[in-house]
Amino acid sequence: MPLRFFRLALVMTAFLASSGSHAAVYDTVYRASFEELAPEDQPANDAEAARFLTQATFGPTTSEIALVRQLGYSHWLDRQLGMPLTPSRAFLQQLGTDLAALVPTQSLNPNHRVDRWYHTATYGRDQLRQRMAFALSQIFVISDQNGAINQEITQVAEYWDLLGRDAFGTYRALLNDVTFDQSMGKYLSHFQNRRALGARLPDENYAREVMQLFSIGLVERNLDFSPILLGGNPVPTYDQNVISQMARVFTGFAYSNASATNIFGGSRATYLPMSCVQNEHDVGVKTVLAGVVLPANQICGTDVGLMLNVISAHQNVAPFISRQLIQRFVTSTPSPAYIGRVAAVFENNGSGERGDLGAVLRAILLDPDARNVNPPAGFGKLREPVLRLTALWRAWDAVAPLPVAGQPPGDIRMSGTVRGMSQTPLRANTVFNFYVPDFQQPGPIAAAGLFSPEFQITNENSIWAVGNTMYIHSWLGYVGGPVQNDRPVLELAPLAALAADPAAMVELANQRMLYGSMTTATRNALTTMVTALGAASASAIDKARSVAYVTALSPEFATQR
Amino acid sequence: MNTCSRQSRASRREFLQGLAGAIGCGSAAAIIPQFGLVGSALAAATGTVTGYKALVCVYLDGGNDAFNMLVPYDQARYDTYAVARGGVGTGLALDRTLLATTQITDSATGAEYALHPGIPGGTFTNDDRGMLDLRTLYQQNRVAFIPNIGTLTRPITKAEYSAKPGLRPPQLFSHQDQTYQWHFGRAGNSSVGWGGTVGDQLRGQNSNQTLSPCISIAGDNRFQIGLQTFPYQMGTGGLTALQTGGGTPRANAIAQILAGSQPSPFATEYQAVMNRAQSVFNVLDPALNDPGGLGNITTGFPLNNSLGDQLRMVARMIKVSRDTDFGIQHQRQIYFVRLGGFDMHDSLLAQGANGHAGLLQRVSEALLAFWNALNEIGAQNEVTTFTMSEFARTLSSNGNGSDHAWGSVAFAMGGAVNGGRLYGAYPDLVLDGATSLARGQQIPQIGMEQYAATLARWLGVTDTNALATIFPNLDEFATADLGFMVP
Repeated sequence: MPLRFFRLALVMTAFLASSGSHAAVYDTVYRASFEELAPEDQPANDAEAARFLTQATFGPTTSEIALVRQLGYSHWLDRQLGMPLTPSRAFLQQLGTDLAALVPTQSLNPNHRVDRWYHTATYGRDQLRQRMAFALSQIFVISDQNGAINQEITQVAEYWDLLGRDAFGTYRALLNDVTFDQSMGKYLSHFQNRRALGARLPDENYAREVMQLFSIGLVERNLDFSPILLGGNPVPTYDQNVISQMARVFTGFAYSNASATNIFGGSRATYLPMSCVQNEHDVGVKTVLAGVVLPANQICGTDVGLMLNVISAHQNVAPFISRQLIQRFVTSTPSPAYIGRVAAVFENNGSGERGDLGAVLRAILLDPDARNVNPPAGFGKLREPVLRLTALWRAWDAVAPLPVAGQPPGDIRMSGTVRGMSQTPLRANTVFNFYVPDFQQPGPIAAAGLFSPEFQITNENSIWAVGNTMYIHSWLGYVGGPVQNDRPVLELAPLAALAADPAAMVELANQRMLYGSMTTATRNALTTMVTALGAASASAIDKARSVAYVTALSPEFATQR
Repeated sequence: MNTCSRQSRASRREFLQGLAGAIGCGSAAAIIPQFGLVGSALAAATGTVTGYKALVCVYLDGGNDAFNMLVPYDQARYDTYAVARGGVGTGLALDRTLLATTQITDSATGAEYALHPGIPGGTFTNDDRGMLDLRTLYQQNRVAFIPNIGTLTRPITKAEYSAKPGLRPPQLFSHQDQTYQWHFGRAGNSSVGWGGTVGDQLRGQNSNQTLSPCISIAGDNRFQIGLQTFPYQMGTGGLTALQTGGGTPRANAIAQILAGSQPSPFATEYQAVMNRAQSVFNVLDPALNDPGGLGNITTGFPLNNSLGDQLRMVARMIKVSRDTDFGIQHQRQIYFVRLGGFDMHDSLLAQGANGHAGLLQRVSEALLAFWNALNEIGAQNEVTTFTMSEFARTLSSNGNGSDHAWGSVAFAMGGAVNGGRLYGAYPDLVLDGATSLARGQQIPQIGMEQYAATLARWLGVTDTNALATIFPNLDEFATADLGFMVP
């Protein structure tokens, strides 16, 4: 018999005001009434809450599990959708200033940004916003492997903040901000892209990727992502002519502080959105995507704005974006029906607004397919290595390392010993991200018709490298062990307290790390291990770090369903 | 119905069009192997295998600006090139006075070319040597160039290119698609790559079947995926064991967990990858990690050169693999290495390590070191190294770089290569010419599967039916063997 919960929704207007770009129709209204939670809106137990948090955050914590049970899914989401952004660019600017104040030749390096990323992911209150920013960064890819932005740490951090600010706003606003971002401009080379002159023609990079990767993909699609067929064949969304014409649109971009007439002016120290220098913008007539004609003699802002309107309005955007977001949060092979339901919310959030990313995210996480605790065998995914690491830290309330000795307080080396993960936020090898959405691991997964993007970075070499990183952050990273200033350390006292009861130890690991999904085989293996360690007189903490590490290697921990 | 339609295979062309049409399908059905179509021809290994042979694929990732790698040197053709590229200093043309240092001659025609000479003034090395080392190998007749090679469904004229878009390779100018097509060996979609299917054919002659015949030092790739073959991926630093903290309880628990029953195919596959890692480690670790191990070589490789690092590991693995006493005993292998950074929409002519010059210098120096390592091992005639890249780049500039183009220049290197010449006609480097598009994108005159089939044949796939199945478009072209390999 379901318990009746009374809850008081919290007023969020203060948060709303400070959370930046935000879909206008998305409002959390103060509710003073006492309402029951609908049965489907409340987790039946801690395990269900933890499973939800595995999908929606960087890993469940005991306190967050309790909060989800108290609020129910919807109102937990409400709260998260109103949570302000944990800033990175401002933080790193201050760190850079502080570093130079200590030693004038000292400055930020790219790993400071990664350290900050891991710190926010692990401890930030804006879990859903940061997860969404991480997901968006795998669609709207920039990478500081690129020489043009590798040393522009502040600017790359600004891009990360941009994704976080726009996480719950509209797709159209996000597309605008991404297009005008300076780091994106340098990464896809529309920064200082000049109009044609003689044999010189404008760079086509952004024109191509904004369509292929950021909006519509290569073939026309239905709302459920199935391809539209003409005479049995898929229909391309654009051709090379379209790209060449659109390349002309993305011309004239310059530093935010460039003068109005010098595309090469301004200074790289800025991180603000690019300006557009009119005398380097192509003002001819252009026939772009979907046969739309942009008239001559428009100012750059108008030209680009109309172009982004055309892209954003394309019917592919809803399924193309929705499907990838589902893959990042819930399952690699969403059913067409699931995609269709989410894409429908993209098309109309219920208040007539299109592209409401907050509503889309709610739809993804509250969908019956996602909330089904007994999903079909092919449901779910291999978890991203980065998310396994943050989940390990959060499961055991990891303690952050102290600031590096002699350095400013902001210099916290969260990722000092993170190696071989095959993925680092905003550091993919190519604009195609760490993996592609359509990757299918050869063998049983492909034979079953399933997609498995994360397996594209999982091989006999990398899988052990990730395992060894788990080793460093559990067996070699625990409170009470040797002091480590280059990694967070796990608080394993709750586990060690159960050292006399192997079954209880193993069950705690099941709850903290596997949301109750531990198989019989894994349970038996772990219990046998703890018993054997006890017979060899291992200490309680040695048993605890053994359980934490070996559980981190388990297939259940590596996957989610 | 969420699957793309599949046309009945009334003819090879219709089959190809069906595959090409499937390229964009979101459904898995488009990517599942068409078993009925490939199974019979690939059922058994072909030919008699003797000794050891290996192919090494060097993938130049991003689209190599190939017409600055192999530049026409005689004054008339150089001038044409310079005009098309917008001039020296104002455009992307290399200075002819610099080209003198890397000048070569095509022994087949007597025509003069030059390799990229490097761009002075950078900080890459003390002297910007360009491709001097590759030139040395070329002058020893160990390097053959294949000009104007690219993805094609069949030979196509410029008129056909415009009038019949359906004849073009799908998604021309798209990195991912063109890269995959080079990996597949076909201008369409595929679930398998030609390195993998060649591996399927020849792996029967290898003793240790747990180690794939396809080995990648550059991570995941489509090239080395066959029907039964997947790439074994290694890093440049050898093998690192999975840590267990010592003793048996943890190690035993890990082994049991990796053998346990799991409800999810993702979990099962995770176990499978973990277990494969252990199995191969047990064989290779002694050879690669022990100080006196079999896998040690003394040949020096260039510093700050990731391609050199990868080729060094390839050399070590070749040594270990071909040894007739050690526990691998492979007779046929295919390696994959990669150098990235060639997608130079910007800064094509940058000095030092970050420009095209720096990348090509790395390629050149790494290959010479690899050649020397093969000499140390005694395998120079047994190993053929060849380049692939998704496309060349526009002759015309976009300001300071070039954009995606099509027909490119590839090369093969090895003791079995009949080198010192070009195989195929070097194109006229003009904009909007008889065989080029508006920005100097060359319409290829050689299909990349002709090149790949030549290499596959040398490795040991000699059966015509097998080659036709691995390379479905091969019969559209004049020859299945370009002739640059000594039989």
